[in-house]
Amino acid sequence: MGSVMGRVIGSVDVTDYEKIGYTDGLSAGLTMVLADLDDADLAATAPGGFAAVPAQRVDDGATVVEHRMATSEGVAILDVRLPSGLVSMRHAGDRAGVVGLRLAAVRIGLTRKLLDQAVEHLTGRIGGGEPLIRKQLNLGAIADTLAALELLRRYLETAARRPSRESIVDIHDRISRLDWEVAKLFGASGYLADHPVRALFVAELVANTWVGAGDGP
Amino acid sequence: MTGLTAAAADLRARAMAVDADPDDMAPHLDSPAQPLPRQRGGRWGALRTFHHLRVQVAALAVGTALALRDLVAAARPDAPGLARNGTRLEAARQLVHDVAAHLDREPDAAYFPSAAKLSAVPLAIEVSRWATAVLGPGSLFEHPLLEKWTRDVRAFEFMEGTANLQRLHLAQDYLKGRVDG
Repeated sequence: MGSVMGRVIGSVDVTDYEKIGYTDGLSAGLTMVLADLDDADLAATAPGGFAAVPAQRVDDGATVVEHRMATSEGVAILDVRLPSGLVSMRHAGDRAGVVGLRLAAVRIGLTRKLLDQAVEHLTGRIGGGEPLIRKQLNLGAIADTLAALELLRRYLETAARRPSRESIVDIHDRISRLDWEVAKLFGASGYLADHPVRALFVAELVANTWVGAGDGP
Repeated sequence: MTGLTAAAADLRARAMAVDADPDDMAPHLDSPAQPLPRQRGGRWGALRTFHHLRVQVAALAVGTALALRDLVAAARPDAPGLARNGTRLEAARQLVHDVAAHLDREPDAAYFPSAAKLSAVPLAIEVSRWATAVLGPGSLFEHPLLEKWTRDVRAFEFMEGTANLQRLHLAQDYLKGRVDG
């Protein structure tokens, strides 16, 4: 793959994707990520036969996988698997790399947003006579998350200069692990399907369709 | 009910059963006017119940992770990491069994139940990540049980004390010399 930052993303800085992830959320970010892919491109680019798209991009007749949390987040999962017997003509290549990098930027913005909400949550809850935000284990987790986000932003920039599937999968894997650390800051409420942290779990599902998953740090 | 919902309901039922154990209540019932000693009050009973439940949550995590490992073995018999994760999970199962036996002998010890939960749940989550990875892009939708179990193992984190709470228990018991390896 060539230089995604200069050639494909062009004048749109990766920072823009992070911003929209932070301010407008996953569905809006996914809309921006997939903006220059037409419907035929969607099916050809998704490497695993499923494509997560913004709900408004679902055409009549499309096969949609039912998933309540994804639906609540404004995301639809399209089943674009080929009928058995047909030979795949997919060539994910550059396009999949671009989607993977843009999506990673959106996810970083989303993670940063949920971290702010987690801090707000911990500030308002009292345990042992003090706000949970003052507990050292929580402060440590917040600091680790911030440091990891700083590294991820640079990792995204360097990976975009010479993209490889391995590095893009690794970036998403690191984001997924970080998202789980952020989700835990909300306690059990972060597991609820109607909690804002749902976006982090759905983002992991979205990445699973466009990138796949890694197997460890 | 099946799966996580049934397991959680079973856990609650067991917890109630522990509270209502006739042997535990017998002295109380025989002489209702005699109060329990302060150190055998409600908090003591609650802590004992938590110790039991933590081992059971650890067992649920190991069981779900074993199911994930079996799912990978069936879908992709040549998947890298099958043997490694099988061995890791066997070790976790052994830990849960050892802790359960220890708990029968020393039901007031917090250290081992916390160690079991703090070890088993992150391992189960790691196994779910591995399974998702080796089954490739789209795996969470190609294999609906993979997606369900991936989310299920994360629920165990929030049952009967989060990892941070288990860390505090472990460290406190270590500082009190209640660790015997």
